[in-house]
Amino acid sequence: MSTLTQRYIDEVVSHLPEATRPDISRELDALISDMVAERSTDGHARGPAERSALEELGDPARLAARYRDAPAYLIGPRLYPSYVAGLRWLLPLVALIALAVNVVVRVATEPELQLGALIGAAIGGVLTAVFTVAGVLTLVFAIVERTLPGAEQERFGRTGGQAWTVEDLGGERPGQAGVRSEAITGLVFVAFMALVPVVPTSFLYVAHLNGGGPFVNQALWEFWLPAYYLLLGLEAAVEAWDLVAGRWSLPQVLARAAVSVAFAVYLTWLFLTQQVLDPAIPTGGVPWDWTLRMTVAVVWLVTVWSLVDMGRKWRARRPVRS
Amino acid sequence: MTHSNVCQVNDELASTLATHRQELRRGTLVVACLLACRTPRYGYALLEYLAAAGLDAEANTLYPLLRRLEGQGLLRAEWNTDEPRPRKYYSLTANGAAATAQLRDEWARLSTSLTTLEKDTP
Repeated sequence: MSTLTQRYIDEVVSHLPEATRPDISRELDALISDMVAERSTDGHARGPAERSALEELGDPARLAARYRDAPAYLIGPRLYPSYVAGLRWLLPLVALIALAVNVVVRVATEPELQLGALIGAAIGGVLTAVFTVAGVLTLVFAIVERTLPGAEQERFGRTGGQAWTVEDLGGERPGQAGVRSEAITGLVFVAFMALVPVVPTSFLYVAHLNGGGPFVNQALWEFWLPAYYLLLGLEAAVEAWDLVAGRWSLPQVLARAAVSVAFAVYLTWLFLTQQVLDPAIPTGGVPWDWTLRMTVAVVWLVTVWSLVDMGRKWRARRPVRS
Repeated sequence: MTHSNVCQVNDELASTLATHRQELRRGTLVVACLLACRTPRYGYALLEYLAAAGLDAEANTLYPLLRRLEGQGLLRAEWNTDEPRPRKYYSLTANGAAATAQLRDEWARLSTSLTTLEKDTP
């Protein structure tokens, strides 16, 4: 056996289980000798003949993989749909939990909270959590791919390991699909809005304006801010209703529209009659009247747009009369 | 249609055809090996025998396949050290013979079905 052939065979069997090595080495040696002998009688010299024989057999790692008959992929077609479904279900959830935990921890431990540091910590935490979970999920599926027999793989990741039946289709119209995710987005928005009256100026690096107090005039707590939280509570209730129902009905849409209009009326009234900004914040040089009128105009623009959007979605989501 | 478009379409067609042909042939190599091993043969001789019958197989596909069929108990392997070059001979086991007969029947059924379809379709 020439050293070239020897090196090739050693390379192949190094990827194979110990017990099979002598046998496969011997067989490959015989094969290569036959190939070389055939090529040499064709008029080639021995050296080039050996070269061409080895190159025809190809990459030793690939040849070894054919002998092993192990999957040359991480996650195969039987498991892939469950894997993707798992990622789509798990990653947003993990991101949301990581975000909440990071923000809460930061708020609880930081003596003076600032927006930049909060965003930095939250992004770092969320990325770490998402990548870890994606990595672990991939690893679990790769292991299952190599351990579970093929027929059972199709059931892996399905509730109770049941095979698919038509009942899994569900009865919802496709238009209803977004109701729950929109409700979650809505609840997050409500949570943000709830923070507005208490956010201190130091959070946005402008503590010098009023010594780190909230942006919003705290005198409004007598009536206007409790009313604000009442309206937010109604908004949250509407979203929760959607979240629980998972589909739209006419009462839900009407309640949603009513709360939107009530909120717009409230904000208009508030902005035009009350001192919203903390009086300690200097507003010299700002055309205050105009700013307030613009704000009110934007509030109504957004409200009208959301009503139009609601109407369009309702047309797609309302129950079909047959 | 421009010339380059025609070429592109032809290339796509050729590559699609190559994929289908490969899928069609994948299973037939197993049947061919089993049929050929009714007489004991070693890998390289089998390769030449198949080539003579018009079936071109690559050594790097055939050798691992023979080993797998041996592992499945369809082929039996024996080293023959009588010749100057020791060779591993594969021959059909009883299970292998039964499997071959069934696969052969399956092939005949497929062939009949295709003939029927070809005749029926206008």
